[in-house]
Amino acid sequence: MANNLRNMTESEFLNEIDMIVQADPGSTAISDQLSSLKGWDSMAIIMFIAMADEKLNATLDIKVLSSCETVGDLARLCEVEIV
Amino acid sequence: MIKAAICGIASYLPEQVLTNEQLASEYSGWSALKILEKTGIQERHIAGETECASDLATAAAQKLFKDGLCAPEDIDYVLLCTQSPDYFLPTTACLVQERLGLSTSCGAMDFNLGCSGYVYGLGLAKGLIETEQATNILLITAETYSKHIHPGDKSVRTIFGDAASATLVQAVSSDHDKIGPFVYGTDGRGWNNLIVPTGGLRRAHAENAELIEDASGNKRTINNLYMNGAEIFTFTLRVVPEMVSKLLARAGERMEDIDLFLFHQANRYMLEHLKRKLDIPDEKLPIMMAHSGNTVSSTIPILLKDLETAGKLKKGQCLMLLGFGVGYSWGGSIIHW
Repeated sequence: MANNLRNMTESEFLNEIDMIVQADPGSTAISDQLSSLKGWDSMAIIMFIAMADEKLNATLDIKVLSSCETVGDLARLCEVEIV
Repeated sequence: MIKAAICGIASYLPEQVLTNEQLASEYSGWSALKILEKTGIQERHIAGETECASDLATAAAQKLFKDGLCAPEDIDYVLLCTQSPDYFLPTTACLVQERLGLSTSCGAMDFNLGCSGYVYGLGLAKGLIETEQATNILLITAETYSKHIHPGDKSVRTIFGDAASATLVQAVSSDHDKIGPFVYGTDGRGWNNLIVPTGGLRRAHAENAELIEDASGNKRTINNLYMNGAEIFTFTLRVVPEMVSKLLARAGERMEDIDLFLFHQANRYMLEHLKRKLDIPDEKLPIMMAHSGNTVSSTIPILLKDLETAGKLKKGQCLMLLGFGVGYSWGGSIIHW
């Protein structure tokens, strides 16, 4: 993970996920399985990498990203604090 | 002083078109509009069943000759970039020499690169011309990735299109460089993130290969093109900003001195992100891939030609060309138009 990470709250992170998977605002939960998110596809993964780069200044390990199963796993990958 | 300069470009797109509407009818959950929004591509051209790289290359070069910029007999060297050659051997450029009726005193060679290929080709051409080994070079890019792609793999079928380009690189008299400087890079650790695993000598084409479906529902066999989009994107985010900095430093230029940033047209989303990341104004980083898709080594010359045709290139402009992708391989150059 790159240094100089920017911070994001859990709520902000979930809003970003909502946008990426084109879900209704507030509908994605930290415990959601990625496989249950209709819009979580190869394009969404690209958008997630871009979001992490742009808003968190984070460089993601794609092998670790591929092993993520829940939205919470994504948040932990980006070092977003889960309340 | 003798310098190499780009003196003309032509491109060729195969007749058959694959539209977003056709793709949407095959893939549930992907509307035509969604494909356009995510990729910036509306349609891509697909080579016919019997249409190979040499056919596309010949067509592009014939358009260049028809434009009157040079005659076949003027060409003394052919550089052909392809990753889908007609044969392992002979060299595809040799086939093109014969079909174009070029002199038998002409040099001709293939080089195997993808998205970085055009920049590498310009570097080779510059070297040949400025060491007085050649005077009129036909730099051709020709690719038929569609022949490697499984029809069930939407991740790559939505993105890649077939095309060829022909660029005339000539010796001119100039006090300053028209092409250059260059930066190059290679990282073979990314070798298997954009690959056709079989068909070479490492691993033969597999008969009755098993059809595999990935977690996103993309289907392919071991004989088909595979792309790990996430790894490719991460690689791009890592090397492109560094390449821009190195090239500016080598050229003694600043960001604001560059009139246009002409990046390999991989997909619109990636380019929009790079534009924001590098803080490049919209008008300086054109994204023009809606009607051709990602044509691999042809994207940059096609972009140059489209801009020229639209009257958006002016003599004396300082252009930065960046190609990056399969290999991993990357290259950048400054062009004074």
